[in-house]
Amino acid sequence: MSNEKKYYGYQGKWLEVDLTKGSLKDRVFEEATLKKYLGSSAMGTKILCDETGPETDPLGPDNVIIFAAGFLNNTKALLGGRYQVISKSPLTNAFGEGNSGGTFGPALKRSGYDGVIVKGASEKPVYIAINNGVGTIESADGVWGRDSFETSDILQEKYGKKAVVACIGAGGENLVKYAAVMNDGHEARCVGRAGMGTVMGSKKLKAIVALGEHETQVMYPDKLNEDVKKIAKELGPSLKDNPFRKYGTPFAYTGALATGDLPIKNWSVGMDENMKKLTIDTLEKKMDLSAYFCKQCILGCGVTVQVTEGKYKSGKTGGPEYETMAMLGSNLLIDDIQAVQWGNELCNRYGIDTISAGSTIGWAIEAFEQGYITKEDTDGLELKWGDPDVMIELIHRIAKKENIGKLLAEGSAKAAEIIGGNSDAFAVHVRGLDFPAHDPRSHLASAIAYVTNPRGACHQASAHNLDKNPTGIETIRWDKALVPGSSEHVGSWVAELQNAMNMIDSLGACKFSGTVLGASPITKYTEWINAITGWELQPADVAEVGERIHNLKWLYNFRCGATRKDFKLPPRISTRKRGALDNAEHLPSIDIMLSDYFYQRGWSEFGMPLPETIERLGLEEYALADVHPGPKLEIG
Amino acid sequence: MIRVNNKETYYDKEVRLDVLLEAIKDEPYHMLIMKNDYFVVLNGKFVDEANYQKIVITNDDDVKLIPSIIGG
Repeated sequence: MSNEKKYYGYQGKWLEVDLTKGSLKDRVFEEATLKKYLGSSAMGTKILCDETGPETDPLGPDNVIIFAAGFLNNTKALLGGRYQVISKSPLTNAFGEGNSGGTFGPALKRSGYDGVIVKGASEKPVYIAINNGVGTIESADGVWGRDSFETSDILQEKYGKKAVVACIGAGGENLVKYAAVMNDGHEARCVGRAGMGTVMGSKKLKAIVALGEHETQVMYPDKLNEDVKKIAKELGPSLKDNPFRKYGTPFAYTGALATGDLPIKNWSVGMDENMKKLTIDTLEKKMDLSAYFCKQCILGCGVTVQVTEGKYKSGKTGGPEYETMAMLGSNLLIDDIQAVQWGNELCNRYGIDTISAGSTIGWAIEAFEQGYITKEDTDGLELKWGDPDVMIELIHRIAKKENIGKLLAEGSAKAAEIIGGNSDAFAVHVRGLDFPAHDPRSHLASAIAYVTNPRGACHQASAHNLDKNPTGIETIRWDKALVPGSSEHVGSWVAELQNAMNMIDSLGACKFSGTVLGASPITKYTEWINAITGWELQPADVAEVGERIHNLKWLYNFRCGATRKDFKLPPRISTRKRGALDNAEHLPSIDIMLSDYFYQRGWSEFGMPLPETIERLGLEEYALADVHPGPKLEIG
Repeated sequence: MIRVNNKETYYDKEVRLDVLLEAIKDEPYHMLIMKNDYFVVLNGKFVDEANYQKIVITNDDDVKLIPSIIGG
């Protein structure tokens, strides 16, 4: 079915669903708005800012959750198949979002919509079905209570194999604060971070099913198609057989271990010899591997695995990403790769973020060691390092919120607040979002990235490995050389990379786009945006959209109560040295980098956008009228 | 044979690391990584680029080339 709407690149409408009223309607935005807030992250953030605020309870009916297809979804653009979910986060009580690959984003656009805005809350469990431009609210009888794999199977049986399902499992249903949105069934693609699945659960929204045949109109299709073919031809044989495709992101594990980037024993030590057992060499011995491709991808880094024998024997399913190998593996001193994969599968079925789960379990084991948690609290379970059975049992209890699982379902930050004492000293998070598996004591850029990324400690909203100038992701407005091991200019680099990464998210593009498209993905994507829309943007315009998105997210955070004091690292990272390898003695100099960062951003000493920055980005309607932003910084 | 990222190269004895990297950089299996920023991990240890010319690789060595932008 062809799309006869006037928009190019967009389907031209969003589906707005009110679960309290049980109503659905189409919502249309002006083209000027769609250009100013280009793509999923931009539009989702704008809608969140317009519809919610500091008084909004993240788990109340007034919260809004937005499922947004990436701008490049459903076109021929390479690596453009990702989608975004945005809401006020129940984990951080501030801006929240997550991102996933697979096939759901393009399916959403093929269903006829650029996104779905969900308001209110249903009294009974429901799911939303969108079939060729028509949305309906359906009873979730038969799927509520099922895990994410089963839910996808059941709904695909009903709607056909072309239907793509995004859903929650027990994690979301039971309001685990870091519940995920899972898509593509057994392939287990995941919107992991910040509790987006929790928001779905609070609305009794089990799933969204998307299917359809709507094309996305492209102004100059030949231009786009020829460029895509040319790139694919040039890359040719290097795509068919390469370590990305063979191993996926677990490939990063060896590098992380060698450079001191890897979390080990709740970030408390720099090396453990047993953690060398979790490399790709063991991965390929202990399970069958095959490549998985997100829609529109030619890299295929999403490895599918199967453990065919032993205690953790299971079916073919999405394998562990690097983050999971680290957070459920080395972070807990577990060296059994099959056990890590079983933990991964459980988290996927339950719909729980493996990063926050691993971080919170690590905190819990240390709290048990320190006497803050006892066997009485755990119903006799001894929490200890290196024990896969403990990790697995705690995942079950967290998902079901049973026994100690009820506390751990809050995330490490809140759990530490509840337990009290000095237990917050080893809760490793920024503003409530647990650290991903990259150590700021090893890579300085991670330090500044984590404290300044809008949703909290996040490795995806900037580039975390900035020991020298990376060529993987292009920045447009900054090109000064970094000095390895020095804090100089790192803050500015991170600011510009955040702008680029915001844009890559909003386009629905993959962070590995630099690997495939070369050193200038923003320039290349600008060409493709213009080919799709007929606009005449420059790369600097696209980078400015990224800057606009970032500032808008932070204006939301400030409205929700964030202040300068929130730009800080947790004690475990700011005061405890790793003690091993070349960076054994490093601790991040966060304040030097923050000064640099604020200046580059056009923010004040208080870490807030200055009036001239807000005006330049056209964000006046979101300015904080009752808050003084603070003095401008001078760089001497 | 000397292996890089678990794939055999055509060196079956010893070779200097910088020579090895130069020899394989246009091979399809390695091209995607080597055309971008990457670093070398030799037998589990990070190797500074300044030392590439000083290190001799043998059949017993485990050589991994890790992209700088990876990890998710």
